[in-house]
Amino acid sequence: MKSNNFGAVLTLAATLSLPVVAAEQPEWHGFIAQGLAQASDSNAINDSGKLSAKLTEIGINSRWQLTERVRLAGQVVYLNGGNRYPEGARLDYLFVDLSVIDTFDHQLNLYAGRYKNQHWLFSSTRDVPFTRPSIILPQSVYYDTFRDIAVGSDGIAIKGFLQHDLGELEYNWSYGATSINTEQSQLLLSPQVSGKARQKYVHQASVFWQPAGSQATYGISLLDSEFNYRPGAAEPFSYGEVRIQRAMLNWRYQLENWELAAELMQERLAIDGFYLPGFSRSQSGLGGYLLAKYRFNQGLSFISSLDYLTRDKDDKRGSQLAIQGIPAHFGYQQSLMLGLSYDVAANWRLQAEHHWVDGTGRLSPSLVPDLVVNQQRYWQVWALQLMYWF
Amino acid sequence: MRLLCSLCCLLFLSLPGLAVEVVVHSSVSETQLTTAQLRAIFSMRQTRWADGQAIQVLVLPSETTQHNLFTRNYLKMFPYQLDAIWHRQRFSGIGGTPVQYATVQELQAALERTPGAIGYLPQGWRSAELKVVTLYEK
Repeated sequence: MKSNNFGAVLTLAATLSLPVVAAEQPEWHGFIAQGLAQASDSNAINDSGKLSAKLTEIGINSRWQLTERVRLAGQVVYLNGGNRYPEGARLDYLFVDLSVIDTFDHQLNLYAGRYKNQHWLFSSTRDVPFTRPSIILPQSVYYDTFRDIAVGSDGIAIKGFLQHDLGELEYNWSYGATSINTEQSQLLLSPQVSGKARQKYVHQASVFWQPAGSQATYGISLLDSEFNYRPGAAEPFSYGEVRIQRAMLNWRYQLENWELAAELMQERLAIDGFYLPGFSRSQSGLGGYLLAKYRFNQGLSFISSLDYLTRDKDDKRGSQLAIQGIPAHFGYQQSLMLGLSYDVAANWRLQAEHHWVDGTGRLSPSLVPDLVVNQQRYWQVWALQLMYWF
Repeated sequence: MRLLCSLCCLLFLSLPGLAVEVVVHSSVSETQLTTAQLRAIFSMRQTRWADGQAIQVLVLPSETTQHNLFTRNYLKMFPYQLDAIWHRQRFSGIGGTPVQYATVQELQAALERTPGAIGYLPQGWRSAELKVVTLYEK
């Protein structure tokens, strides 16, 4: 589980929340989901390409009202997603929520502890099966390998809403870091690493605007983050520093039956060292998706998405990767997804989807590609999941 | 055609038992709210009335006709949008969720006995313990 600075931040937050008065009854909610998935010709689910039941998600959360203005909220989840992220339990979030402004036209809350990422359209609910639009989200923006780093961080965050005659403004800011364990390091970097990867900080800000009387929401979000890697004994990699900066535009349009969502981003990746001492490279990738959902009657929905990513906008099809002995299809990834979901009963949903993919730019590991398993440019993945929540 | 649809809609909303009105407990001093303010309250973002009293949001199940009429006419939203907001808040820890009652009778009784409560009822269901809230635009 993540741990850096977490205790200190939570202690500080708890101190700020004093004096504590009689707490109200805590709310408890949770979810459980189990599915099947298969990805032939890639390591997206497992290395064999065979049918897998590693699509398990279990979570429970609670929220306590400590004082008039202070709450404590937390969620623990267990995940088994095959190669998508490390298997096991983790503390998804645990933070003190301080209501700073609570008036008719302006609400502002401060969160201290392990807060959740509120900056992208689905970042705060990507870990809850029935609240995300698809089982596997568009990988250009919601890269599964970075799931644990992107869901939340240890630090502080603010979230505010301003209601105006012209519309509604939501603003978010956060600063923190996520600790990375060895298993996560191997997914991110390479199975050969044995050293210690560390996120130094992640700094994010976002605003979302919904004009009065409109069903459209427009947003912009910014991210800046730095990592370093200290190699273990007898491994082929060197000390390295990585910086990621992302700028993203968000759009959502919601009608009675139709729901459309899109996010477009540019992401700069700068690497110093790691592969070799003195190595230095900076490249900017481009990506985004368009997602559509249509609600039929009786709880049936159809969903589709188009997703596109190139890791280097100056080499969109990865042709320059051949110089390093890497096939061009590791330089990009684009896909089409079609899916259905059906609410079989209250709080029960069955979801199924199929992805047709060209390219392997968003498979793991991120920095040292798996050239053995991911040899195919074209591959497919399908998933079926039954979910329950309360 | 559009005029005909509007007339049909007006007729539908004026039928007894089909139109809804927003009501608050008699302890609440606010009786006029804007659409944006109602959205903030029913999205569970605003948790206190102007006098500091805690807001208690009480609703019917999302699939009921009354909830549907309320979200469309007062919040200018579709019920699934409000459900999504509540789910997001519930599963990211940043907000509470309203208390849900199975029937109009249960909702009315809860509104009458809960200080700081806000909800909606079919037109004509108001009682001495409840005040009707009217919409206004600034």
